[in-house]
Amino acid sequence: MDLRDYLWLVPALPLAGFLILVLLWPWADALSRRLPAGRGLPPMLAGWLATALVGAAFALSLGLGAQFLNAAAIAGEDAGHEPAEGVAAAPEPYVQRLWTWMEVGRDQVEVTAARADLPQLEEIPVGAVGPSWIAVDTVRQLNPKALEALGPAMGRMWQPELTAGLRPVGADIPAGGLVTLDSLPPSGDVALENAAIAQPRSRHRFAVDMALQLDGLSLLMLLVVTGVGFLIHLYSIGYMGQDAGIRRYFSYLNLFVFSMLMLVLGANFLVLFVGWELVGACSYLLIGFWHQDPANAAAGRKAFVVNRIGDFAFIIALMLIWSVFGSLDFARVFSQAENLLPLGGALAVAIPALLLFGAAGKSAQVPLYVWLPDAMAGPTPVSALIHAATMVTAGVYMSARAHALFDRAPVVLAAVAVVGALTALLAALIATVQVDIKRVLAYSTISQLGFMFMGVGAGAALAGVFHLMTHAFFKALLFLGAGSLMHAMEHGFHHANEHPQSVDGIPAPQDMRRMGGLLKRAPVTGWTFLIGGLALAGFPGLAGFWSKDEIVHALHQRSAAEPLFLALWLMALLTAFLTAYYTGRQLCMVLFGAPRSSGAAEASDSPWVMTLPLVVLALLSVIGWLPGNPLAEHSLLATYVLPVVGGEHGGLDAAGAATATAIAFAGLGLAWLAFGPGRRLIDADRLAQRFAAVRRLAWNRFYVDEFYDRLFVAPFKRLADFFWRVVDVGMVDGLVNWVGRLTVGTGQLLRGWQSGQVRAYALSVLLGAMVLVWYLFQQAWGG
Amino acid sequence: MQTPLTLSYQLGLVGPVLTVMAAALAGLIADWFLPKGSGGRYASWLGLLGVAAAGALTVRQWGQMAGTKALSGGFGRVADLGDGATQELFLLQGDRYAVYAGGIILLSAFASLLLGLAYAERRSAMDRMEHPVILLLATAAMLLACMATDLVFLFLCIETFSIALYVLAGFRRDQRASQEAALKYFVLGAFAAGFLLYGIALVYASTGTTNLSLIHTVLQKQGLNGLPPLVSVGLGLILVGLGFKVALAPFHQWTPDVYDGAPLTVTAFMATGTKVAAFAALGRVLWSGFSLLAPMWAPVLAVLAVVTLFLGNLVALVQADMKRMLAYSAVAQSGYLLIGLLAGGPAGRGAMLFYLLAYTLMTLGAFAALVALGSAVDAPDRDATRLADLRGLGARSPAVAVALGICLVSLAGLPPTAGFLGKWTLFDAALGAGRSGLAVALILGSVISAFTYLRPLVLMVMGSADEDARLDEPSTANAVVLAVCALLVAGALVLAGPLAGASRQATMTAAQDEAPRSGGSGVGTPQTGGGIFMAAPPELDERMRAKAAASPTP
Repeated sequence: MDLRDYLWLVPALPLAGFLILVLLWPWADALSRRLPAGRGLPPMLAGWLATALVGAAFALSLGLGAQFLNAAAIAGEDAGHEPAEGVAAAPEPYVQRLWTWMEVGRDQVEVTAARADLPQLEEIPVGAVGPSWIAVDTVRQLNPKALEALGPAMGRMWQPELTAGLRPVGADIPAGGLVTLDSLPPSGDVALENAAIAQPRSRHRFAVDMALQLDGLSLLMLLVVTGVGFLIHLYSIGYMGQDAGIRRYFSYLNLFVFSMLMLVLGANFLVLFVGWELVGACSYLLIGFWHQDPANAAAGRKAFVVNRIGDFAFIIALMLIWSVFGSLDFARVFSQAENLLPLGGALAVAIPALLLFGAAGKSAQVPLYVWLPDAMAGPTPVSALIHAATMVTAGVYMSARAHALFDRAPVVLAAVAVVGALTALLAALIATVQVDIKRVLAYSTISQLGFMFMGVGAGAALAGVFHLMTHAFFKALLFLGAGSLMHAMEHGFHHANEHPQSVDGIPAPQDMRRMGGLLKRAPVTGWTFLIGGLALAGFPGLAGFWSKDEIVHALHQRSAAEPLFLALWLMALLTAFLTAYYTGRQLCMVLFGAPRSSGAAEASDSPWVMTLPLVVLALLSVIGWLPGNPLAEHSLLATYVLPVVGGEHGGLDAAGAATATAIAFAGLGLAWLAFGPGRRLIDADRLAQRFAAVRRLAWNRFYVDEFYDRLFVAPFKRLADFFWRVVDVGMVDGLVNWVGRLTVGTGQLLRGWQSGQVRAYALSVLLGAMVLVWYLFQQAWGG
Repeated sequence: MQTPLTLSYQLGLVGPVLTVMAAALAGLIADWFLPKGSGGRYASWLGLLGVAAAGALTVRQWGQMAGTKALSGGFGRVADLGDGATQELFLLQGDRYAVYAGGIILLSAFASLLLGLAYAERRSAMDRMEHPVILLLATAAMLLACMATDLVFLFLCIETFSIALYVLAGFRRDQRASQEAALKYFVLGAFAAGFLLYGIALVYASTGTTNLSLIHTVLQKQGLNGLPPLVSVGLGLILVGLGFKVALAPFHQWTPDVYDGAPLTVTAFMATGTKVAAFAALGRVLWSGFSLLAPMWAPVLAVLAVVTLFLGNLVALVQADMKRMLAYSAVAQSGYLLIGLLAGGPAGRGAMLFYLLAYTLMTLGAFAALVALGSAVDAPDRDATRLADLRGLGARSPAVAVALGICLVSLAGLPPTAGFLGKWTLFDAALGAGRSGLAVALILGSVISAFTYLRPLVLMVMGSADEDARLDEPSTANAVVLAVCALLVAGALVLAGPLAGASRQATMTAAQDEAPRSGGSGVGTPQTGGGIFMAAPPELDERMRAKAAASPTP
């Protein structure tokens, strides 16, 4: 059985969950109420259903993965590799075309010579409905050799005696005219199609398939999305169990998983874009999940608007891609990139630059990162799934996927690295002073995404993707852990019968200043949180260490020749230090020392549905680096993902590993000394005083939000006001009303014709018939 | 082309028709054994079963016709044309064109039966066994009309479903409006049938046949010089008769009154099923029988299309009742559909078929919403179809409001709905055929119609509810129709490729415009285009073309 035939099922399962929860649930609920003693469906069932479907999708993904590896091994043997080496060739990307999604217009080919000058073609083959020979002829004139390569399909075209005759071709198509290229021979000859598509002078066809693609990269993303998604669904059952909107929550969550799967499985830019937009919509819905609080709704809106800015650039990029390549298919676009995009040309720069801007919006990079910290207004599992593990990495995925386009513009690639480095450093600086447990993680996410961008920009996309994967593990773990700790704190406060006020706008259960000693109170959550934190800090041997340092190593390798990368490398090192520092600070403030509030003192661990995912993710944070082991020559990622994302396989050298270890220990050590339990060797307050200016800046997030507000939002509001009062009300409305009155008046007038009298209607038919017949009679006889 | 004329083949061809008829008869017979007063429920369920089975057969037929035309064919005989030449003469012909149209009709029948079940719960006059049975018989006749290749046979089909519809229109005997609608429809329908029949007679008188493909052959042989003018007069009268059925202005005036008076679910069926059948028949008559006369009829129909779509949309603007508004909208849609028909070729006819599908879905959805609205507050006897009844629907029943909103947005032709895609394909086909004037008219008509369809939307969202009572939950049958239609309409963008692609493959076997074009008209897309300038024998062609060039067409 070829599991790949069921690839469509992977996104279809969560979609089914969404549809069931939205459409069938109310009906089934009403039905069950009608039963004797029926009390309606238990809300928790919605959660289990959604979880089970995502779990099924994960199981199917695992099967696909196993089959992929198996096929790869067979392919490797066929290719003559020694099986003992364990070297396998990556299988060809598998594309599943579900259906032709859109097909509008026709390709038009300019006829380069008058028809009379072309060889007369008496007949055309069966099934060739249109004058495809003209396309062929154009190809022939442009490149005579191409014709020979086209194979038997062409032979039939050019040897009339071989064709099964259908009909003659008209003989008076003028030179310079445009004809349609509606159909090609039924053989489905790809070479011919390519030749014809690559050459036409004028293109008016827009055809996109609803197609899914399975290759190393999408398989990796598939496993991450469904795997982490499944764990977070499971966790949500515990976390959201008491919420009244549980059905709505899980339907959104399922819709999100579906959208994300479309994003990573799409075989062309449009499917990717639809997923891209849908995950944005789900993000909006889930950030504002508790929309009763206007602040949450505002956060959702902000995320949506900022994302739109990036999406706008993305759309323009898609249009440019289509106008250059005449296709949005990955296979065609990437294979033609070298031919059609001259190195350093205007379009070659514009397309990846716009893509980068789009990616910056979705992946929260400078300058569009401002939405992500606010996005923490949503439920914590949502932060873990969407705003840490999956959606925000879409930009990295897309950049890695479209590396063929980025490769055509080295300057943009460098810009990717610069954007990543700036983001990483800025966000890490901000993270060092935050006291909201989720905000620290949010800025840390932005910072780590910056690392991934650095990897992609440095030409080591594999390292970026590797970090994407490990980050998904440990950051999901940290967010879920934070959620579990908040849960524990809430219970603690509840137990102590306290209702503490928010300080600085931070609710008490997520204020790190009120935590402490939670490792003892909530051991499972505490220990797993510790593992996640250490993985993030780059503690040697844990997942984050390997992936982050592969990126740093890639930067270092390029720094010898390029001064820019030297600067970036130093920034990366500084960021790594800051990361270790703020992570250590968080761990110390949360887990160690004495409880600083009754909530922390009375906290207790969460139920198993919440801690089980934590344990699994902690395990992955420890061993999750093995598939991408930088020390091995042929790690899984290097074998299967590298051919897709291109670039070098970085690896890691001893010096790099030693530096990374030293930096991680330095950061963690500083944090331990400043915030650790017992006698503090470094007074955190004095440290704060010394860096007072930086601290104030960082605390206020470098005033970026205020800056945007002044520079963009306020003027935009004034402009909108102008358009509303002057242009819309004054001019447009006047015109529209005038036209509207005219139209309605005409309608009233015509309505009078409808008298309700049958004889009037019959007369109208008769008169119409007389005019019509008279006209036709004139035509036929009058002459 | 050799067509099998075996009995089993022919039975397969009319399988869906027979299934629907069998369901109708089963409903009739079952009524004997049921206790008195058990109503139309059982017959309806039998009908749903039959229609579903017919739908399955239709899908199978579509598959059988894949890639080959050999399975097309029909009932008839092989005529000897003299000189050893023969020609197949069919009463009816099965091809993908008919199958696609038939599929839409079955969809409409299925939905109307379901809606009828829901509606009968409220209006006891509708709860009779005769309602589903007559509806099924009409459906069978409509299916046949899509396949008819003989004018007399076509006339019979049209009359069969028309008479069924006259009865259905008057089914609410407790309502004067319903009776009035039936009588008006009947009188005017009989009047129009006269035109149609007289037209057929004149065509027969001048060509000696009523078979469409033979008519084509005769016209081809005779050429223009030998062409008796009576053919064109006959064609004109046929156009009047069919134009009445598809509600082209100025033959449309029965539509608002009948649609308004007829019971709600019957209107839904009339507005969709009849339209599909009549347009399918019109397309076949014009393109397979009289395509050589295209230079004559195309300008006339182009004028009618423009008049129809403007008139329909303009008058729809000022209606205060949803049912009446949808009636005028149905008139306007005929104008759009005619544009696709005029564009011709697989692309134009495909666009017409696809728009018929989209139109059917969104109209059924709108009517399902109207059924769900229930009775008017002030008059329990009256359906709540006035615009004022929609006030505050968004608050009273969000689900119904959303579904109705989707259908209205689609009728207005806004993306990403099915209506938008349908208009897009029509627009594309018109441009491809070099008929840019019609394409512009299509856009202008849509602009006007946007106001019509958005007005109820505004009322639903903004108007405050008269009373804060929530709408009763629609019955399951009603909700299913509403939800499915709204989902399909809203999700059309995702399914656009397969549906539109299928409509393009819905070729008409005997269509005579597949011949190579001579010259390009305008922008030069000779493959699908050429517009009205059909290939014709040279002697016919010259005069025709000169004439067509002299008379500007919109």
